[in-house]
Amino acid sequence: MNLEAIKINRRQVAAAMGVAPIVLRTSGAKAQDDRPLRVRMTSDISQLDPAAVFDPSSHYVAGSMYSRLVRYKPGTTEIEPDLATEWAVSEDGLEYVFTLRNDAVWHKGYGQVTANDVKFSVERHLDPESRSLFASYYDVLESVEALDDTTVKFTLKQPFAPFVGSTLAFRSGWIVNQRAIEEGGDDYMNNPIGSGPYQFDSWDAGRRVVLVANTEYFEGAPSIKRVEFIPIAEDAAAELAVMSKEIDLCYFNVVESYLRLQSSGQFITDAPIALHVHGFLMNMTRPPYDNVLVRRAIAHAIDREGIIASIFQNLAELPTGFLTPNYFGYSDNVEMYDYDPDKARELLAEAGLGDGFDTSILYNNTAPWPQMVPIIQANLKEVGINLELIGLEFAAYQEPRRAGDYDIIVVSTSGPADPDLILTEYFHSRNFPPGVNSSYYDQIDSLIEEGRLEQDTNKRKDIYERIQQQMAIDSPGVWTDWDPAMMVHTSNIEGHAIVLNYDLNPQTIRFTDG
Amino acid sequence: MRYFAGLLVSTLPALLGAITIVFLVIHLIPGDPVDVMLGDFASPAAEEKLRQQLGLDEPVWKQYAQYIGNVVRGNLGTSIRLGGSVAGHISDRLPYTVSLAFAAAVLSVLIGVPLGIISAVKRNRPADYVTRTIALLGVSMPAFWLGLLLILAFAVKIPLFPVLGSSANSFGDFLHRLVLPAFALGVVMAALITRITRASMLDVLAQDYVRTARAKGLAGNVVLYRHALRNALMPIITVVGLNIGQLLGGAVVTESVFNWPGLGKLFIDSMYARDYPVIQGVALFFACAVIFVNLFTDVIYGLVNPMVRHG
Repeated sequence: MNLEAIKINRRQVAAAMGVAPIVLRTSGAKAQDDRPLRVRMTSDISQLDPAAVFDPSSHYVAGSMYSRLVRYKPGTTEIEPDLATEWAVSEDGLEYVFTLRNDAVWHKGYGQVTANDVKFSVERHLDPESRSLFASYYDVLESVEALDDTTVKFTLKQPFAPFVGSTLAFRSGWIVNQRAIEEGGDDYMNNPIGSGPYQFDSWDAGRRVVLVANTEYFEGAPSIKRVEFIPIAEDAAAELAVMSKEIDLCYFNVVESYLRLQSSGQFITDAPIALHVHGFLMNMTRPPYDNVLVRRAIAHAIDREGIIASIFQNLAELPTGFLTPNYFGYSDNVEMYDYDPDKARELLAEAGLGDGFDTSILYNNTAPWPQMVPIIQANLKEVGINLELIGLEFAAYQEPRRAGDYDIIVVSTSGPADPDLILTEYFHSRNFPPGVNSSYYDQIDSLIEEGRLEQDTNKRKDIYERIQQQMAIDSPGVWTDWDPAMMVHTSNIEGHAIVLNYDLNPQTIRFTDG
Repeated sequence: MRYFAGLLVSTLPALLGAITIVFLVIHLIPGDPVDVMLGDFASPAAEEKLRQQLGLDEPVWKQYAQYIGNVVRGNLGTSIRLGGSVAGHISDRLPYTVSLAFAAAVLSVLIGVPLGIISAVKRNRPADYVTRTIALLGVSMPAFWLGLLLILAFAVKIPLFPVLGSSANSFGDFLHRLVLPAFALGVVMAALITRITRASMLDVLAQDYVRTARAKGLAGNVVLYRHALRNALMPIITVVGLNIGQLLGGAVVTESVFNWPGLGKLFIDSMYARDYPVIQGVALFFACAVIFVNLFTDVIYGLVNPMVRHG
């Protein structure tokens, strides 16, 4: 096996992934400061054990504490080294050898980060006792070996192109310390140990999570010495907290809050399109949604520009498909469904439903659904479809969703920039409900699998283009908008890179007035 | 003494009823804590394991029996969402809610009683109309809306008070942060007290003994405060006592608006996560609080009015 065959460094990966960095404001200033950076979370954290983190708030905190072999360059979807200095992939795509930096140490005196820690962290996901949410991410793994203290080798059962860009760079790739996990047991949450730029200080449930700078961080101690993550559920309350300068950095779900703060002129704001899409899926096991003509008719019936203008004040963008331009393999060379009620009525007539029909949409009470579904209802009414609105609080909504008990269901997704994971979760037949393939769509299974195996970047891109084209033809759902990451921060900090893939990266931030 | 012991025993069925209703309601509404904890992408095996670990794979009646057994032994269980004992979480958050409710109650009496007296004494004069209008507004105003208005006015436009209750660094800071939420929560009760005080005072002022006192030539203020108000206080105390429940209910909303880390916020957050043990624990605690405050009200009642004590 010739491991030298494909040596990869960060620039090549970036070039290969063909993804553009978004926004990253940096400066060389290095202000030392003891003031805390106060960051809003939309909910309290639920977990800090990497095997169990899935919600954005826990990811914010955990992502600031743990290192991975590779990471997303802050504010981009580009892969760069983290604990690894370099890596090589065998020609057949089955072996990955990573070289670790030798200056990475664990928080609080837990010693040096070694290849054995990597082995333990990965194997832990596959141990049923850990109840890891990411066991399936490592289905493809044959073995992981520590060749020496700084060399780790992964052997896969079959080639898996997203291994670096998705499995290792996302939350499934966080490296933990064996001793801390074993000592901590059920109490690990109160003393989590990582090797990232910040270390755990305290968690005061419902009040705040405090991290402090890791002075031994291998890239140098971060400028901001203390980060407080404060849970504020309501955007209105968060808006007021930002206005009264009690929160320094905040992401919003509600456009109005964002726009008011923006128009005040006192804050730095940004709202680029990230990796997030809203839309709804049609249950193809239920007539008439088994008929592609009906699904296309509905796509033509929805006034998406109207939705974007009225709900998102034009901050969102009109999607060409399920993947936003930040995903690897994004293509706009796809069929689009313009807002065209006449065409929708024609298609319905062709499907034998010229008189319309009664149906329902299942949604939860988080933004933007309560605002958006009435517009969808009005749009469908225009073409003769009577849409009943079934809105439930989030936990309650999960029951019919998991049972597949709905005609139409809303969908709101975001994932790592390699599209394999998100396409598999939402559109591979192995994830029918209770999984999240809520449309029961099974037409791109083989393409998804092909995309995973393909090692050639350009060929892989072609496969994802075909997936997007096929999805446009089959129309399992309607993508209403690519919504923006609406960020507001005070004018006295700089260096914050827009959150993509849920990584907050507080280590790039500094106060400018300190 | 026997009277109080009897009262205490009579609260037991009420408590059992409260536990049962809360238990049934939260187990009957849709939503599963395992789903909330593990998210959309968990494997069925991981879900099953967690469900077993939490005892949620048992039939509901069995879970109920176990829960009651545990409560009797003083064990409220372990939080699904946060880990740690439910009793621990409650005692952790309790000082926040007690201080908020207490401050709100004190504020509401300080505002409501004087306004009510003015309103009664100046009956059908402009001061009365103004007071009654204020009281009407106060009663009709939703606490969350008033809370947001207060924040906008006194934290954002005129930055006198902080917004986030959760960020207190010292006791002084804590009191500073307490003012706005206590006011938001207290206003509704203040309005209620104003109205009760007015009605009660008008009633008392029309009594023969007040007329007699006046006829004896006692000073107006002495009549008003020593004779009339003392008797008028009876219904006011009842209102304050009976409304502690409402105050706790209001705290659920107010605490969310002000990010006040009390029991109300714990309750709401646990509700979203379907953290059954915490929901049950907090509800049980609220039920106990209401019952005991009512008992306490009876005691105070006795102290203020000797007729009750001796009767």
